Amino acid sequence: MSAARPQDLACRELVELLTEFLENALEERTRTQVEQHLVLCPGCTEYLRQFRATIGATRKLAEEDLTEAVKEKLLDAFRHWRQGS
Amino acid sequence: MPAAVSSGGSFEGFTGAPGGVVALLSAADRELVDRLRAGDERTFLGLVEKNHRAMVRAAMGYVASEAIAEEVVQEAWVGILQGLDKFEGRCPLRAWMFRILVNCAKMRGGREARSVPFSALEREDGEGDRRPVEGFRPPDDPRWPGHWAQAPERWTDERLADAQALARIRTEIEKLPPNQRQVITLRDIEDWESVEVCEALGISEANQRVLLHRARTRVRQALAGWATEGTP
Amino acid sequence: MPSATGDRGAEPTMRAWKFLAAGRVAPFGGHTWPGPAAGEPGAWVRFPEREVFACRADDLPWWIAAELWEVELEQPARTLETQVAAAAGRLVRRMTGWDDGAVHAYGVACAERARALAVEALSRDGRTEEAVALARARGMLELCRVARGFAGDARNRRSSNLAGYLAESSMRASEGFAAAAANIAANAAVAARPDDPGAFHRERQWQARWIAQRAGLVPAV
Repeated sequence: MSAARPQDLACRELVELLTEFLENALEERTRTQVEQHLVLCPGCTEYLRQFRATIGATRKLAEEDLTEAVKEKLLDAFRHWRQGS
Repeated sequence: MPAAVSSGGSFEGFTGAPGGVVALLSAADRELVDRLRAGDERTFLGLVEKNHRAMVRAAMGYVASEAIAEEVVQEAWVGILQGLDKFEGRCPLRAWMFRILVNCAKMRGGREARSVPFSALEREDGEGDRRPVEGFRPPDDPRWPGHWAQAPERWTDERLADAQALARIRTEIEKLPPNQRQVITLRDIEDWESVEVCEALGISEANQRVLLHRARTRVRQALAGWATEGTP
Repeated sequence: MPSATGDRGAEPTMRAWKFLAAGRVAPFGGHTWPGPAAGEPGAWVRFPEREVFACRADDLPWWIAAELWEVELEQPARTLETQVAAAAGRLVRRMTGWDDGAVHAYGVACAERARALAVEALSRDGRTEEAVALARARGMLELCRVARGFAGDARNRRSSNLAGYLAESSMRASEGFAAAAANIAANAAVAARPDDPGAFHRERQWQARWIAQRAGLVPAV
């Protein structure tokens, strides 16, 4: 898309590829283009950093433990089911 | 690339089909099912611990409140147990469980749906989702069409360190269209493999990735301090 | 995780170059390459599902990073447009001539190329005073400030554009983003010679030679 250098990705295109990039789902040629662009673009490098940081922060939303009340309720259901069959 | 399902056991069968991969029930899952049928409470609790929270979040996509979602999931567990004797193992256990959950949620959601009609939420999956608000130069820019007009401001370590950040993420995820929310919840919060999510939600790998990308883009945007109301 | 294998012994190998982030860290994979020790090259690195990449001398401008290493690659190596790929590689020696000062100087050198193009274009467009002002500016920041002022003249698109590239390149050079400065300068070369399809490539080659000379590379490949 860039008029100046035919093969360089525009930043607007690169940001759309990041999820695939992080999962190694891009084909080689495109992945190489992403990497090359990151080398020469501080803006996209920062954006990728933020994208990754967002994913890392999102992971922290996972809660650790179920409440006992919920566990008891479900165990009851389990026992009830076992009795019924 | 094969992925572990549910309890992380090795895959028995993982056939590649032209449209994508079809996952079968893993050896570990088969054993799990046998134990459940035999009335093993510890196995059941283990299954609950691994999946209950993800199920509640998934259900929240269909109903008006977390409390109702909790009820829906408990109904779903009963449905799962009752269906266990007939479960043939032609798909991963988790996928089957989630289909039951989604059915319960949809039925309940029909009765107690959110005030915003789902059609309106679905429409948000449009072009407007896709662009970071920092913005790009227009196609007729003399030197850098499509490059950053305003590069993203550097984030300091503090930005993500505090509870505010998590609250913002949680809020933004709750505002996402349902299918984006499902995917980001299962992938990025619950840490499911991509293949498991595709099976559970009945979507293709490519579709799943698009939804995940849009969801992540919006969450990142929220953290960057820009308002997102689904407007382009 | 990378795994080390034993010495390759009599197997054919090739030499190439590799840029790494500070601390021998792969810029995209994030893993740390084992370094040479006790006069021996670092352990061989091989990934289960990924190749190892490296540069020939011409490829260097594409992959600028803090550290430059000579590497040994297992043959056969695949040739790609701007790199070579092999099943395994190991670090042989650090090119100590390539340090933070070199990175910074590289960015400045590339911006200076952009300055020459801008001065030439302004002169040709009859914008003599502006050309002189650009030629006289000292330091990247002043150069940026002055050039930015000349980038908006719509009556002389080409020279204004080159002033624009110069402002951007010198700004990036002053910030230490040398690869960005270099890319901008290469784009300026295209803008300065619109009828020359080889302009970009030639500018990249100039950059590759600059890097090779500064880093003390002997053509090893």
